[in-house]
Amino acid sequence: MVEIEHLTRELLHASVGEICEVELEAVETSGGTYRHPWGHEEFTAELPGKWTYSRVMRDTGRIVGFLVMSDKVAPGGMHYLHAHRAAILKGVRRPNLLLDTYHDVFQEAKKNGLKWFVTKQQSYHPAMLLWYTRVLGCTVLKERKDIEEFAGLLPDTVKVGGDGKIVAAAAGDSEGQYFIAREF
Amino acid sequence: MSSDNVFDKVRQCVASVFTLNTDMISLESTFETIPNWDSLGHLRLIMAVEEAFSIRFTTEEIPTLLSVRLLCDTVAKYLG
Repeated sequence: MVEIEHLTRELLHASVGEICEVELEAVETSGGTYRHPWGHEEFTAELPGKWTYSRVMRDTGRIVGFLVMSDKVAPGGMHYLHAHRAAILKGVRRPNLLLDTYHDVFQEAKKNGLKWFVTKQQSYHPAMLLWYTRVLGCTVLKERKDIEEFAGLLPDTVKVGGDGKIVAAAAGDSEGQYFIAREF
Repeated sequence: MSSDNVFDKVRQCVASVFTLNTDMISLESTFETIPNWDSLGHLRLIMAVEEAFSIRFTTEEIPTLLSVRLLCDTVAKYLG
């Protein structure tokens, strides 16, 4: 039985080696279409809301997955959830484990007054993009090339429409990324 | 379409997505009994079933369709 728990600063520092192993396995088992693995420095970096909105998944005590999220602020002051990193060991992956983890975070974020979730997904991993849209219920925001009007706000920002909905996003780093979002 | 026909088509989808022989798949098969039925495998199966029956499951339905029986029952509802 896999259990979901808060990733606290103390837990992360005590388990960063274990978490790095999960990350490394995810990269290695992704058929080379994945990403540069995060190391100690990336995992231990302080981010707003990180210790409230990040989770680990445990199977009989062992860390088998993680979801690193933070609280970001859009121009104009609206706070939203941003997913930075997620991975689950291949041997314990099952339908809905990541979904349940996201819902656990969404519930807490909602209690704290947040309404939106945003993340970036590499275009070379179409299966995950599909997962975010079909399973998590996200929509793909306008692509970067269409939103040059607020390129001055780079890196990594979102545009909030007059009705409080996130309508577009921009990344300050590489091309080939999709921004996806959902209101919860 | 009869329930037997629905089951046959769903079974073919499961076999194709998870590279199994159809005779290894029954109505009682679930994500716990079929190897590699993980999040992305589940999504591939959903897409295959949608294509086979020309239907589209909702975001709310997708996480619940964790067995062959549930898939068949839900497909049958769409087919009326």
